[in-house]
This record gives sequence, C-alpha cells and structure tokens, in this order.
Amino acid sequence: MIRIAAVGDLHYGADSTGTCAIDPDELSDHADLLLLAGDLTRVGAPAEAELLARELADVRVPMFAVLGNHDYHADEAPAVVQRFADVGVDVLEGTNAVVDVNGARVGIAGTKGFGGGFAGACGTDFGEPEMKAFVGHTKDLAGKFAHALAHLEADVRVALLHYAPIKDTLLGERLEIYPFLGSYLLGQAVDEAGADLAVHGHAHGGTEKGVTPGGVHVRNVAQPVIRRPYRVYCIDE
Amino acid sequence: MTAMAEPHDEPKQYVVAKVSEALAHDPRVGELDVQVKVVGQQVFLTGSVSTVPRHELIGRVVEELLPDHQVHNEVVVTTSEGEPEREELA
Repeated sequence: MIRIAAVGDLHYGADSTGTCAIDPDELSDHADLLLLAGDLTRVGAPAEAELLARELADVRVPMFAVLGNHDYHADEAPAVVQRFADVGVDVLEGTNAVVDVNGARVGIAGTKGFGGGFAGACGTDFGEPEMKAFVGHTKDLAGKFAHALAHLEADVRVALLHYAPIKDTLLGERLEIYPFLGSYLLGQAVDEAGADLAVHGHAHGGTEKGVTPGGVHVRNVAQPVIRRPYRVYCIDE
Repeated sequence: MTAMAEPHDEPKQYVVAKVSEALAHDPRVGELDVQVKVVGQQVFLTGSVSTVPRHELIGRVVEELLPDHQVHNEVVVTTSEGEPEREELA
C-alpha cells in the first residue's frame, strides 16, 4: 500500500509562518511521500518560498511539487524553485520522477498546467496572437506533461497538477470562470498516458473528488477545499 | 448625446471589478478568490483566507479604495488544523 499525502494552495506570505501545519513526524507516520499542488506562495516572491521551505526542511519523506499561477506573479519562478530545491522538494514541470517506497516504484509526472476550459466550452488557438498564445501555452504544457507521464516506468503512477484536468472537481466554483481554472487537455493527457491518481489545486471553491472521462481518480487538494494539513490517498501497488 | 453617469452612479459591476483588481494587485494582499457584491453603498466581501492578518488587510484595502462605501468583510479565516484524513482508492 502506497500512502500519498497531498495539499495545494498554501499561499505562503509574510503572515503565514506556522499555518501549513505539516508536522514532519506525523507526516512520516501517515504517508510515504508528499505532493504539493502549486500556489505555494502568495505572489511568487522568493522570500515567501523561503518561509515555507523552512517549514518543510525537516520533512523526511520524499517531496514533489509543481508551481501554481501565484508562484509566477513576481517573475521570479527560478528563484522560487531553488528555495524549494534547497530543502529537498523536487519541483516538476513537464518532467517526472520515480521514488522507491518499500520496494515499489512510485512515479510522479507534474505540470502547472493552464486554463482554456473543457470540451464543448473551451478556447481555441485561433485568431489573435494573444488567443493563440493562451491556448498554445496549455497545449505546450499538456503535451510535455503527457510525454512525462507516458514514459514513467513505475508500479504506481500519479499526475501532479495545479490547474484542474476535469470539471467535476470545480463544482462549487462559478461556471463563468471554469476556463480559467483548468483544461480538458490535462485530463486527456492523464487518460491517454494512464495514471492511478491525479491531484490538483487552484479551485478553492471546488469539490475534492472527481474522475476523468477515462476513469482516473482526480482529487482537488486545495487547502481551502480539504481544510486539513494534507489528505492521504492510499493505492495498492 | 451620450449619456454620462455621475461618478457616484458608477454601475456596480464596474465597482466589483475595481475591487477585485485591487485585491489581486495590491502587493499587501494578492488574493484572487474573494467574492465581491455591491448593494447600494455597501460592499460585501466573502470567501476564505488562511490568516487573520490577511483577512484584516482585505477589509482595509477595500475601505481605502471605496471610502464612501460601508465594507462588510465576511471573508472567513480557514485553518488547516486537525488530523489528516485518509482515503483508500480502489
């Protein structure tokens, strides 16, 4: 049994010290690895990343993360990534990693992802350069993520996202903002490559549980949704 | 003749947009998930944040932006304390 802890949207700022509530000893008792689903900072300042990184420094299980839109706001994403890397968090973007858990290979592929909407009500890369850039960014990230997930050689495969891959876990959000909360291209990538679980954040007003059209479990682990330090998902290897 | 609204008659949807922009771009706040409703000269703020100081800043920023409105800061502070919950996926 692989125990995967996951949380997103911690939104760490100068006023946040101590609010992430992840106790390293307790985490080791409950889980084999920790996934962080983006929006780890408030405005993407390296100093904010440093505050959270300090609280993660004593975590002993492997940690993986993707960045979220907030983590890009200050245009200092490489420095934010470095702060987390310094304490052992592997920040994924169109990349993957495999970790050994009691002899089982657990693979994680990650991307921030982006918006665009869901089949039947989504943007198309047509018309103005700005529209092509918007949808093109989602296509680019989804394509690299699909490749990273498809090439994982692992017993358990997990997709780590910030933006939502399906609509189910947005239930509770306003319908008008769905195109800014996720894209079906991410869900399609998960289904085509195959996974045991996909986790995402970003949708604070959404719902925890959903499933892709292809039957993959999806969990929205934004902290305002789960209202716990993290959720633990257990998967038979 | 083009109809021109007086400043105090600014349609409320533009006031809502102005508040949302301010909460996103004010470097003290950086919040995108606060819901804003304007009723007459009253502004209602709802949603959730993770700290008390951020809750207070949200109210202060809107009061500074709209000094002629009564601001109802109903944003709640959610905590993440408690035992982590576990789910077994079949």
